[in-house]
Amino acid sequence: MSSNGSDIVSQEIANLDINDGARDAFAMYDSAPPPAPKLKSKGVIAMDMTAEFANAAQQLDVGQLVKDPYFTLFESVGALEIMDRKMDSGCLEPGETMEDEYDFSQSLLPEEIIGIIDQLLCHEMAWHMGYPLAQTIFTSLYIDKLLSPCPLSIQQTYFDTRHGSSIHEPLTVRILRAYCLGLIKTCSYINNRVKAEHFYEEEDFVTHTFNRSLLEGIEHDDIFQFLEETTRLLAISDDVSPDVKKALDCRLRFRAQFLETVEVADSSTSDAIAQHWKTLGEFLPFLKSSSKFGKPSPFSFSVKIQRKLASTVPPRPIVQVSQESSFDHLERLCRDAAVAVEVLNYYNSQSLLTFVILFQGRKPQPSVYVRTLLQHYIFADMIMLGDKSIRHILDDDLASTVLPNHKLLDRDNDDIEVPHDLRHQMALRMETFRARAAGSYLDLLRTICQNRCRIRRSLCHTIVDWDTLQLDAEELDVELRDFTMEAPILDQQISTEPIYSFPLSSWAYFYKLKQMEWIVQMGFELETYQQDELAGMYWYLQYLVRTRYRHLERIRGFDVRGFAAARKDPKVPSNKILEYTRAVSFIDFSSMEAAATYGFADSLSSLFTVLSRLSLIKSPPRPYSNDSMRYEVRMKPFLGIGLPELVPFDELTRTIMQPEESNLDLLKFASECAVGAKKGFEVLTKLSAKDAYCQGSHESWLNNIKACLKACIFTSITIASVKKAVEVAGIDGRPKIKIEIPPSGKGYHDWWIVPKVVPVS
Amino acid sequence: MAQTKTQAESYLASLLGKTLRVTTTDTRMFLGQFKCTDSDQNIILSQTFEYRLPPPPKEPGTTTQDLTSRYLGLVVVPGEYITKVEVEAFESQLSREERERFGVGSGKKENERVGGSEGEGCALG
Repeated sequence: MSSNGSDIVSQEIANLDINDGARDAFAMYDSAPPPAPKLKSKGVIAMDMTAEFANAAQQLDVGQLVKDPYFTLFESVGALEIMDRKMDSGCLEPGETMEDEYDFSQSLLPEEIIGIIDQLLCHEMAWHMGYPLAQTIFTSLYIDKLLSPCPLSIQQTYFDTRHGSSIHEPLTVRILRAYCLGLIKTCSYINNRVKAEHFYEEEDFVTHTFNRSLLEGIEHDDIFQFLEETTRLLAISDDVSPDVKKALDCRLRFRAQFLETVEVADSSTSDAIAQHWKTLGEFLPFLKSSSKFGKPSPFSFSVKIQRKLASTVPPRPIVQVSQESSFDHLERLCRDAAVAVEVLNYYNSQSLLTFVILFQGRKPQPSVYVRTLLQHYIFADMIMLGDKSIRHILDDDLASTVLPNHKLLDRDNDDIEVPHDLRHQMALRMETFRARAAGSYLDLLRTICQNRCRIRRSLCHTIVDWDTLQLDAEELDVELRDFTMEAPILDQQISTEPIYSFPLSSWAYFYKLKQMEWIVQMGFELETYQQDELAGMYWYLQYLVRTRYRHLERIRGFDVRGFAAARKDPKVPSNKILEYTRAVSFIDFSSMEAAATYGFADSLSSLFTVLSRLSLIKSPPRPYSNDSMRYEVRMKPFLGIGLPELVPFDELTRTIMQPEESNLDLLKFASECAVGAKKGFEVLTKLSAKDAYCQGSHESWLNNIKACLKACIFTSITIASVKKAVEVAGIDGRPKIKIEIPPSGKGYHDWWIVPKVVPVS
Repeated sequence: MAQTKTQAESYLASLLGKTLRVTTTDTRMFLGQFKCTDSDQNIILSQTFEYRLPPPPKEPGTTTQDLTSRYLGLVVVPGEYITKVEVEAFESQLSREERERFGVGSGKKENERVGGSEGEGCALG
């Protein structure tokens, strides 16, 4: 497997859509700004030319510019205006001082320590939610003191410099210092993890550290031990009341656990990761309940610190995230992270894909750190799931769909070096195919790990790549026939031409169709479509799913034929026979799911058609476009796709509106489809994890199908109500109902928008 | 110094791309590459660093005061706030006239107060 090749491909794809050329405020420097120039260096002098400059400038006409020819006015828009309070974080009010008058030598009450720690936790979670460090953790004066100047050992981290030598550091201050050290080190791990994976800086997470080092110079173990030692010192101290002592103890242990967990989470082999996250989660209830002992210490946070941070952006206020929502976020983070590790238990390629899709589909979506952890587990160092090659996963997928027990996947072919040997030729071409397909396949997995909007957007971009992959694979399929000696199906009833299996292009086509379906379905989830587009989009969905269904039938035909031949052949071992049953069972499952999906989509499409005929769905005014232009824009991702061809607008309109059918006929059809789909979903709910190809995520899968089922039942109810109203109103009357369309997240399932009927008097 | 407009333009153009040190009314100094100016003497600098005098020491006796610096990127300094404009030059490339004017080689040194920046020695890994 040419890992380099696919690496480059995925990098190219990644480059394609990152930021789309938008200027990122932090993109000026990825790692760090250049070091500040020395003001005094030998041989360089600064010549005062204030007067000359002013005189010369005065000679210029109003509006005239003297500028560097390569410097554009467009660039200048991004410049920070000095002395403008809204732009210039360094601008001081008259009489204002640069530094906060904060006394680091003051002693703090234990209650105040709790208050500061809890506030820092809120800031930490705000950072996880996507706010920059400059508006969150870095607003703490204690954190600022800790990080600037950059300490290289724990000895250099005293808040009050006298504490190291002359005066003994109070225990409360030491507790805060230990907690802050642990906090920053935790952030350092998280920041590095997120940076290493694919994410969107402006949408997801800000990894910018404003030229501050996150304690990279101090060893993990030193900080961890310092936390533990401080915990011990607290245990033997008796100056603190028991409740407060317990609360402080819990915070120190929590921080040590968090630090340990993020360190362990980076390895992709340890079985202990999930347990670590669970242990961390167990701290939360007491953390939450003991926060009432805390005393807020607002003066230890300041927005002024931004003046000291390297920043190309204007000053911004401190972000306030409530304690409740930060605990919620942390709780979810622990839970999601513990689940994400389960991806390392590999069952088969389909279950892997299902796992990733369902995990990303969790509502609310797992936080960026957890999503990057998932990416890390799947792809780290081009090793899949910690110990598998990409070829392993890809071959697994081919074997379980189009090539069960096939000589093309025989690993022994690789060892044949005689160029005219058929097996050598097969191995050669399969290698070409894998090198081509691996990039697309990995990109698919990585795409699904992004935020919801980006998933759809990236799929829209990469779908053309799958179309090309299908064409390339088709060529290889034709070439391979000479080496596999494939006997075509000769059936005059189906076709006068011999029918070949085209396994590799079939595989690509299958995944291409799946992704086209997702593009349409995620459009429902993301509320991309207007209400009057829903009939058309559900029609398009059923068109794609039906195409997949027919394609699966074709694949199944070839698999079954191979199966029959293998059973008659006594030389085929039983484990190879199993490969056929496995492939057929996957195709049956996928067909079943397809049947339920297209039935449901059909039903909703007809229902929406009737609703728009009854003028119950309003079209927004669109003075600057017409239907066919809008259709072209909507279907832009599919315009370049060769197969299935895009349905022309006129044809689509006729098919959806079905002018020859009456409203009641359409409703009858919708109701029948819904009943069929319901039966389909019911059968699906009874499948085992193995049969539903969702090993490792059966519970979420089942919940998902059940949500589809509920949406389907609700659709039947809506259809019945509309039918009744139409019957009551008679042929020419207006039914006395109105329609409510629930926003995304409020219905039973985000991919199924089911209108609700409300009677009007 | 009387200047024609053409002389003024070519003088300003000759400074483009050079490193300027622009001091503002609040005593901050901005060091960056000169990109653009206009009749109001608004100055655009790229890759700019801000240098600021630290607050006066609380305890008398501590004498070493370093300028603190930070990176800002592209900035525009409005002409009305500018108190001083300096251009950096290599001593060796100055004409005799300029040497005399700026006292180079006469023992007088510019920017005696200037030290290193606070963040030095703490580059990000």
